[in-house]
Amino acid sequence: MQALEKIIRERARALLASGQVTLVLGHGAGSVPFRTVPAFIDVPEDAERLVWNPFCVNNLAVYLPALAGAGRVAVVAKGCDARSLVTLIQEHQVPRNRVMILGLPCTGMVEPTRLVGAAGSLRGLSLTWDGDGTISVRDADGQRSLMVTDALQERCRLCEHNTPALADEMLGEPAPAMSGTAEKFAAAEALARRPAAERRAYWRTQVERCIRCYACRAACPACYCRTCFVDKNAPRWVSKANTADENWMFHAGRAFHLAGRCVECGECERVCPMGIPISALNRMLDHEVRERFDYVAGLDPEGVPPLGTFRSDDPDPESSEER
Amino acid sequence: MNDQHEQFVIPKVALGGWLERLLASHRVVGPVAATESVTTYSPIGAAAVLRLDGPRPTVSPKAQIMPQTETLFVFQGSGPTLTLAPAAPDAAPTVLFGVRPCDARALGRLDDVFLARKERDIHYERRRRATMLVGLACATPSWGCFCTSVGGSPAGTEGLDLLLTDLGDRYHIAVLTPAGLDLASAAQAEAASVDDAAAAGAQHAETAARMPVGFELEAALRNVRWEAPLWGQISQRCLACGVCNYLCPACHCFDIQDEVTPDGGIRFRCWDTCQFNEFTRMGAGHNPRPTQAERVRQRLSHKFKYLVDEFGTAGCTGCGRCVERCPVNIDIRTILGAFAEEGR
Repeated sequence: MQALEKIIRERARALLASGQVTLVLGHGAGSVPFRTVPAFIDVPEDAERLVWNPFCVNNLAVYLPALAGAGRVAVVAKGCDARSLVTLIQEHQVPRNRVMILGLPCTGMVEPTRLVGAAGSLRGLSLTWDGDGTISVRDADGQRSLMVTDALQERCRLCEHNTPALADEMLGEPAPAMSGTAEKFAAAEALARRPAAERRAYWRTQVERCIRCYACRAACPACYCRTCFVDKNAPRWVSKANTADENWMFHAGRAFHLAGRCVECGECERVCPMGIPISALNRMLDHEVRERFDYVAGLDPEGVPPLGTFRSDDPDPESSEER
Repeated sequence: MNDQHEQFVIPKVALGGWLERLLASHRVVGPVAATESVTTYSPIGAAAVLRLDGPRPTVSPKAQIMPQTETLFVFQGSGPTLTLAPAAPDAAPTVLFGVRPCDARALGRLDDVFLARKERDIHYERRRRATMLVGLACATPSWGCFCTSVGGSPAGTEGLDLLLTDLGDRYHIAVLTPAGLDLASAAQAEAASVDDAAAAGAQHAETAARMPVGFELEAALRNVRWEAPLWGQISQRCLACGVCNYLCPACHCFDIQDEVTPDGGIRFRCWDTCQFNEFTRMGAGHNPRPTQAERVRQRLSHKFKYLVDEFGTAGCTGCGRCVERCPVNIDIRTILGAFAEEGR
């Protein structure tokens, strides 16, 4: 077993045994080797079920608002999970003293499709991760190795905070920076430079596919509204009719609601069955918030999200130009 | 392969010509690439490039018969001047081309619900009767596939008019119905040789043999029940999205809504999902399924208990889309396996 997994289990066991926490939220083995499941561990003996590998894709912060009554919860947190927790703490969805952040240095998650060999399927695969940078893959084709860095999910390649920005306890040494951080906004900027009509056409094509399963919303830790605006029916803001216009209303509305709050964990895009590049919308708005308000979401629990406050001297370039 | 079927072979290069001849008298809907990794069903033209290889498409062809949003009637005016006009479903003769056996079989489950009872759903019925199915034997089951565990097969013929089998540079065509024979005659194909028929049969057997050994369906069906600790365990991590239901080729629940304008409006129905908390929530606020545990139970019980009790067949054909796309890896195979193991 790799070292970090062992440490996670030991800490979880000790925290539960001593009563410091009532629940440890981590990752457990999934139904196939390249998937894991969010694991809710509430007795020390079950700490053995916790795993750590480059398939721990879920952002566990999504469960925290609903666990408010569960006592103190320890969360096994990657950089993105920790940033989401910071946002939830800022927004008073999770009391700071009710969450214990067990920070994990994350080297990025692997895109499962990159494990597919010449036989052309993920079926019958077995995997071993050495805890460092290499995954051994064994399938019908035989055995081969894959470097984690060569098979990273794009969201992880671009991640700026793979080592948690906030942790009550770090369970390992800080991880080296990810390779794509300099390109983080390149695609968003390129899209922004295209004419408005072209961008509108592009997004229309993308959202036309949307089936309104709302997996993006469900997987998003920042989407905790008790009643989402699309589900309100008095008045009804968005029709349940599946049309490109209504779908766009949902995606645009959600993106605006996440401006300055989204930490770009990319879960929305991962879970989208229809391949809609949702992160591109969020990244664009993140870019805007950084430029205009000099603010990066999810780093400082004492920080104030710029769109969650009001100042009379708020920068507002458009209206000042008008004056 | 049943030797009684008429069998043909068509070179892949002749596929375009066949589609063109079908298009002269039919709408043709087939799997097309929406993105590198997403395949959807769309009406196609003669120049279309179909994505026929690889695992089953991202979505099932269900929406072609039961659209996600469908107008039921249009109304105008109000009070004594109110007029209603039924919306006629578009029921042009349609060929669904390249349908996987799991998805074709799932349409049979929708038929159970919409056509087998005394009250038939006319919108569904018109489209369904106008639709012919050209199947494609699955040669590349995906990781979540489990058709053979629920009574299906990668080369199953239930509901199909034709079954195509990819033989490399050509397709083997098995004719399964008289309507299928008409479609096949438009292919202007040669009769299949004994070798081609044998190659198709061998491929079917080879793919079926690669399907995983699953759970014992009968045992699972016996044990799926109202009070089971599993519901609570699974629902703990369920995020309550609708991916499983909306990608399912056999899920069929819908909601009915009005879209009102000052002069009138439309009444439409749209897919619904038992995983959302407003599913069947009543006007006065009562929710018959107040927590996710009841909603998870509803999804599984509807498929593996209520439909079985009513029609004799489970509402699942093992396409595995819910397995692969669940954001938190709720794997229906694991759940059914756990029920099957109970009491052994």
